[in-house]
Amino acid sequence: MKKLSDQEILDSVKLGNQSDYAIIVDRYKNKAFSMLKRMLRNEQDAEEVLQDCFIKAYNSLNSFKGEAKFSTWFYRIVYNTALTRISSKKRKTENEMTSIEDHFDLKSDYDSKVPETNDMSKFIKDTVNRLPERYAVIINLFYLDELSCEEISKVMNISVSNVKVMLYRSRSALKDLIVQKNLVEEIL
Amino acid sequence: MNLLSDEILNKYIDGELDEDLLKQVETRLNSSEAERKNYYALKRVHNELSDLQEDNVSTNFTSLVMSGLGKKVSVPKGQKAFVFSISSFIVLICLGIIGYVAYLIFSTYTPPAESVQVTETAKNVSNGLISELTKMFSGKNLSIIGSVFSLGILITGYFFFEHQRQSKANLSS
Repeated sequence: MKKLSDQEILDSVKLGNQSDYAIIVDRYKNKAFSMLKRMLRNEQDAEEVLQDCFIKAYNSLNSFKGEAKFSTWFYRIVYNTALTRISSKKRKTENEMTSIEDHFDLKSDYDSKVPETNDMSKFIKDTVNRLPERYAVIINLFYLDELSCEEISKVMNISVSNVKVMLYRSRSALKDLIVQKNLVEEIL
Repeated sequence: MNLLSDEILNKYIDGELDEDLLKQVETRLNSSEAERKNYYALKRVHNELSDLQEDNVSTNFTSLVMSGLGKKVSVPKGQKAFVFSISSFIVLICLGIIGYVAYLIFSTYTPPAESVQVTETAKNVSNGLISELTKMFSGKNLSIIGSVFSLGILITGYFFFEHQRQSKANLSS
């Protein structure tokens, strides 16, 4: 059966077929949830915020003109709503939302926090969950949602080069950690 | 010789190097074990990240969202009562003014003689209305009406800010 595009579903929703919106919800809920969980670090908050985001997106559907992909537009809502939630919780966002120039040192920051394991996949997943929010969001959008760096820059409202720098920095930091922990098996 | 930088290796992985640099990187990777180790570690991270699994929301999530779509934003009960009391107050003041004007008009109205035409009657009524309104909104009466409205606004303002204060207190508790 032909898979309907986001735009086709949204056109149907706009024509009054509200129930079709469930297809959109099913399509994006888990990916957006993963991103929110990494940003908010709390499952319950993540689910609550995600629910708000879907309702907010539904109520603003008329303002979505289809110039960008729905996913970019929706993730922008998710990202901004999460930032609002973080600031409303009075967390020290200035410290956690590390700027691109800030020193980024996973080794010293996460050495003691990441449980010892020989399972590389588990180790990387645990470490990604401990990345500063913006880095985790980029990893999430790039790998899970398969957004391009240009699309990520639109979601996060930062430059494409900043997205790339943060993506490379995250990978390099993870690489340094697995090398340090001898998790990468000898192949040569 | 220094190892290839992570930036170059990252670009190599993402296929973002131009042809010349690409060849140089491949030559270095083929000739140096240390380069290959470094590249392999980075490539391994990239592969592991590509295999990241998404987390799952609760099973009834979609139905929760769908049930939330139809709902209008519900106004709290206290707020409803507040809006109702204020609007009732304003409506009562308006009704009072209209009633008072009507009373003045009809108390000065004298039934026309049979010979007088209907148009004359209408003219009398409209003249009476204009004169009563002029009387009402001039001199001393205007001050009274102004005072009543000011009092109304003050009372409304008081209740409004009191309500706001209570709402904030409820939220912070």
